[in-house]
Amino acid sequence: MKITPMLSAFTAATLVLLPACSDGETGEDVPVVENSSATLATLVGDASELSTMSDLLSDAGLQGLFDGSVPYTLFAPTDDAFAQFDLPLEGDDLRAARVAVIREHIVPGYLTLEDITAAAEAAGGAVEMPTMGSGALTFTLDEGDVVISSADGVEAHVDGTVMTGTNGSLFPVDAVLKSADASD
Amino acid sequence: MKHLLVGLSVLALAATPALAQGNNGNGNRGNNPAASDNARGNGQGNAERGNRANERGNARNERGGPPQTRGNGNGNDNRGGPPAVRGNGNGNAPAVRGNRGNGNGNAPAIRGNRGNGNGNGNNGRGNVSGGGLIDFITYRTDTRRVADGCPPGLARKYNGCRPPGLARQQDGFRRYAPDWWGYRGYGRSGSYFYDDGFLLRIGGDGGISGYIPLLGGALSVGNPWPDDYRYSRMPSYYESYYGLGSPRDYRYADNVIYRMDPETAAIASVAALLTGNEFTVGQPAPRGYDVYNVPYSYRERYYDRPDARYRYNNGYVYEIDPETMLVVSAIQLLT
Repeated sequence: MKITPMLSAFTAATLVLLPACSDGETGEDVPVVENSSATLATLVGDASELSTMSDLLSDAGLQGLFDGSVPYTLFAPTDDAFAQFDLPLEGDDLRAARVAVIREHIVPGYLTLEDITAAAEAAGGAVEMPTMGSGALTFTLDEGDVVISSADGVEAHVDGTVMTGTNGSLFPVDAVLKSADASD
Repeated sequence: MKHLLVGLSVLALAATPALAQGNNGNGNRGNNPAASDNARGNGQGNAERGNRANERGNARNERGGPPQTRGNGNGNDNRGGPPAVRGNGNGNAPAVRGNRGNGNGNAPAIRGNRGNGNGNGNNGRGNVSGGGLIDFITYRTDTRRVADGCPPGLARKYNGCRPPGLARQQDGFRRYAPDWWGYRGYGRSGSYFYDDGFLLRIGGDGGISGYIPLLGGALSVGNPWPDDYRYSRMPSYYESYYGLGSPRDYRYADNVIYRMDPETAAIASVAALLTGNEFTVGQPAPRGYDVYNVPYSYRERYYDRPDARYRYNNGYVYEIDPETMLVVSAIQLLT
């Protein structure tokens, strides 16, 4: 997994390589920037591989959510992930659909990769967190790597540097965690 | 920061002002500036609270006329149901709280009042948009929150709210149920399709029978609030926590808080997203909060231990008993 040094931008941050599995026997090391002095909004805006997500948040007026003191964790599909998703990324007509997609990637509170891993290990299987949409994200460990699944069955992996800021956490992921198939 | 060890829940807080006062009463701990008159209240004080709830309910009714004329008249009946559940929940809670030794005398009485307060508040709630303090359960699950009729703009487009025959068969995102759009509690029954920022419900006669304005669609920054779409006021703690200002400065609906431009009455920004899940002290914690998620600045104080778990949800950190999975206390995050 590529490491993205971002220390220069965040004076209080520390970059660590965190084994996805705490016993360290399997799984790739995941780069993590901890305790950044930046807000989640800034972290998203500065992440080069998350420009699509940043643009979508801005277009939908959601960027401000991540600029205050209320904690959220955002699982942000990378630009490549959005490019493979069957949804127009511009225009007013389907902005509501894009917002519906984004909401399924936002989780309440401040999650860390370490906490997710520890919870999955303790549970011996899948653990869940609700989203700000109508579903939940499920976390499992696959040979030490965290696998994130949407309620409608899409799977994603961490794909980039996990960052924790003043008001939340940012997990770049390699897939859009919502099915474009109708649920009805 | 406050431990509200007696009968505090998001649900309760959100339900009526009386509840908030009850919580303040428990605030016993003296941290809540609004706790003054009720803080050490007992049965009598609670009775007053109950009355207040009624008064508020009535007041809301007066203000709540418009919502009901908007076709939500039945809402009161349904909304009245959950409060009873809430009352029960509160009734069960005392044992837990009592064990924690938080002033037995006050707690049960407050809870009892809470039940009353809820019932009254809800009865008067027509209210939802009349400034009623809506509980999260009913607010979310009341399917009649679908505004009746056809959005004004689309009524013209669809010639009397009758969509083209092919509308229901459109592909892509246009035919997804509310659940897909992040709107819980509307159920999967019914037929919907999307157009122009609205999710339109098709009635049995094939016409548009109702609609939900969608976040990012009709409820986009710069747009006016749809007249028929109900909203509610948040309890004062939420107003403070989310920095909402006065009630005229925001709208809360379907788990989204919108900031409003008071001059133009247009949506200025999205202030917050809420989960729609409620934690009630003394009741089992909602499922699916498996990962420790306490905000960074509170982690040193509230960390998972063998005898306690802490989870964040909508402005509160909740202590959960790992054995029983009951919510033990709710902790406000404002100091």
